Amino acid sequence: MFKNLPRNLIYLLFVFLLFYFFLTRTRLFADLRLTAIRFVETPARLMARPLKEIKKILFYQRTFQEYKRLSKENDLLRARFVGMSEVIRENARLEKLLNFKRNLLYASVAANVIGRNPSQWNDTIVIDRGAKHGIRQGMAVVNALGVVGKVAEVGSDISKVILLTDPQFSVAALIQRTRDSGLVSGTLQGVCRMRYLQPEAQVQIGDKVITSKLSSSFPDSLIIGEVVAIYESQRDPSVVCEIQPAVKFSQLEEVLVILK
Amino acid sequence: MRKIFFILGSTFIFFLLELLIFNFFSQRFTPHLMLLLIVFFYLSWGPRHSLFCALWAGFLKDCFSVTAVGSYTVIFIWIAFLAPVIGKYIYRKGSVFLRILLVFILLGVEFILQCLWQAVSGHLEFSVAVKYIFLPETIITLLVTTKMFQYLRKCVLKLSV
Repeated sequence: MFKNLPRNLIYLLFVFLLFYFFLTRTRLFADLRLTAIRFVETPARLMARPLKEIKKILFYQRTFQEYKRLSKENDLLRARFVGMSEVIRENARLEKLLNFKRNLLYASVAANVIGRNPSQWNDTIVIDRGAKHGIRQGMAVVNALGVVGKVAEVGSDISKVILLTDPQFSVAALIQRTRDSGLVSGTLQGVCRMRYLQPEAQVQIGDKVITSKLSSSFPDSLIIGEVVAIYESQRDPSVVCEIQPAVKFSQLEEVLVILK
Repeated sequence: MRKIFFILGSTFIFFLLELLIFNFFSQRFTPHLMLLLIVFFYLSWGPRHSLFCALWAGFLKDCFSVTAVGSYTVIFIWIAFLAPVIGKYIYRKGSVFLRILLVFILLGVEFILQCLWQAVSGHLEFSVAVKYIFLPETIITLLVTTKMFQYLRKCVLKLSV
């Protein structure tokens, strides 16, 4: 086999091209691969259980600090909510008067994260809900903190989600404060980048980035993250922002798939 | 037949290990255990077993990926194919340094193939990929190479008894 090196290299190149031109454009073997994940997922979960417990013990101090901080934040938000509830009621009355129908609640499916692709090149997770539960390709995936990603592949009871930080992910977005619009996409660094902002955009570090109405798969006003760096694009006259996602992907356990 | 089962089992276990390290410890500093296994089987049992390992490891990796079907399989087969070609020129039996050098070169080859794959799909930032993927992965993989090879060698010796 290794005696005819040039000939074998040509064969391998042929196989490479074959895979690229045919298999990338079809959904062949998708179910086979998703079924295989089930076999890997169960032992992985069993092996992960003691590690999770050890991690909890090791990071006890940090968790306790986080608990104290969140407890304070909760008290503050409860206090604010008392004042807000009156505003909400008033708003509802006025909306009724104006016959202004808004649909803020979306039908969604809760799912558990059962695996994560161990690759540095792509950021994907596997969730335990699929076509049986109404999930379709391209649906938005979120959690309480903000945008998580998009459904990329669907099996009968398992799906793959491409994360916000994956280089193949992109979504139309807005800077919440200034309403400047752009396109957010993932990078290999684990952060996101917002491109195509107008050169005169008044973006500042710390500005919140949200999904835009222009997005076909995401509802508008979902939090994507926060601007952490701003620089001018070298390719075109526009501003580029680096965004720290609101969601902590390493701690992702449950997500919501928006059935829209 | 025992060798085949050993390859299937060890590849599966090391894949789980890679999955756990990636999810629980460090995403950047995850050693490329699959590549180490491919090289180990080439050095111990020859190219055919190495190719078999590449095929199985590639399939497992592809299950979790949303990129082109079989992208990892193709890349790992290339690695298994190039390991004997490169090894023939640089590797001398018993030399730890040359073994690490072989792993280093194959990590470079794998990185280039991944870059080509990413470039075809239009998402490649080469300098970022070198800084955030190649360097950390190479450092940690080379650090664990000797220990992992020693451990696998013991398992293989037990298997042959």
